[in-house]
Amino acid sequence: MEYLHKKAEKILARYKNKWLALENVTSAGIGRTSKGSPCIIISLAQEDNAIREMMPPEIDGIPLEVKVSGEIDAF
Amino acid sequence: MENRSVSGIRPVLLSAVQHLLAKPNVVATGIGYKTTGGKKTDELSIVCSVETKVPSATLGRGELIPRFVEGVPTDVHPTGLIHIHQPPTGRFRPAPGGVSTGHVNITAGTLGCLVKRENRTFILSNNHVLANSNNAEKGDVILQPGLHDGGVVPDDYIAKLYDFVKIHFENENAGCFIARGVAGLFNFLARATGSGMRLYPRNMKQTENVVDCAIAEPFEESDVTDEILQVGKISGVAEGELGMEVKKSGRTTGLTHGVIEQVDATVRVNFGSGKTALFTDQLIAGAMSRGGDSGSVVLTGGNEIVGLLFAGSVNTTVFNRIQNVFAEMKVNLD
Repeated sequence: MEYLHKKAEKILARYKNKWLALENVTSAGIGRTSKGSPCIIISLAQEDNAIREMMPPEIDGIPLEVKVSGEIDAF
Repeated sequence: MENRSVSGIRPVLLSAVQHLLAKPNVVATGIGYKTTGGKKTDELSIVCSVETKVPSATLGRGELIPRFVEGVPTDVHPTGLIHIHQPPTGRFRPAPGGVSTGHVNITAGTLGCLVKRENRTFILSNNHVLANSNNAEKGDVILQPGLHDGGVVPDDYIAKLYDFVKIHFENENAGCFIARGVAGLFNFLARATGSGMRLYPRNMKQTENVVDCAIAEPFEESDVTDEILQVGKISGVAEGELGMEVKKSGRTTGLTHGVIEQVDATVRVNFGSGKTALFTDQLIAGAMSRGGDSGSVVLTGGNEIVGLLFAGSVNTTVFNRIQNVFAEMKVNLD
């Protein structure tokens, strides 16, 4: 698990600027899949099929999950 | 003496309530069975709840609670300061964490907790709560409650802005010629190929933040307390981890609970007026806050502090790691 988390950190570090440069992406972070293993979560301001299609289901064995967070505002 | 009923005592209490509540220390009055020598009797009395019981010798004649009011015995109960039932948008002195506060030019946010720098006590909250998102100067006045919650100048002054970590907004560099050119070309090609994707022109390097925080120095140290509303005292510091159960006490949604769902998160946050800022190394939980909860501290079930809440969406709450906040702000718990 620790090894997979480190792997996810490396992938995130490599790609996050590219992902965050997309207009609809609000965040990218490390989470857990429903089975409990590390994954990368990419959140969107609104549903975006173009981005969903662009994202591979996994990178180097680490799953990528896309979800809609809505706009993130300073509270 | 005849034992009177509740309905018999009610008019007596009603006529005396103002007089009793005006006495120092009295926080509540009501009707209840009198306690004598630690045991509840079957005699009804007017119960005066006080913050702490004080020896009658130290009180002036007018300050003493009379033993009888129109023949009805009184009873004094030490209950401590009552503020659980007061909404966090109210005025608190001393003010705990979890209540409304803000710079005079903002609506309202949340007072996080007390921190120390060089043995001096400060209020910790967000830059966008205490320092109006960089648009403030050291010495600016902080209200409790915040302006939106009826805080008025100068009665509700509680502290002066002392220091803040500047937020770097992305749009500050939006004029960058090359970034605009690259984004423009990408978007032209995207349209040409029918793609819905758009790139924003921005300079990533100079715009990354890790914290949204500021400190303010109370005018009087006795106006603040190291408690957090509905939570109690902070027990220590902990590192936020995936799956950790957390809670916060905030100005808008009060005491709420959540789970850390993401770590190492990079998040784009809207600050209004088209301004956005990018934050790295953030912790993300589900829905446990709304506008006005900014500045709340995020704690474990055992009251260890893990984060400083500052942003969110309908299903997301974002907070800074408290270790980053303490390091950048050069503060500590004690």
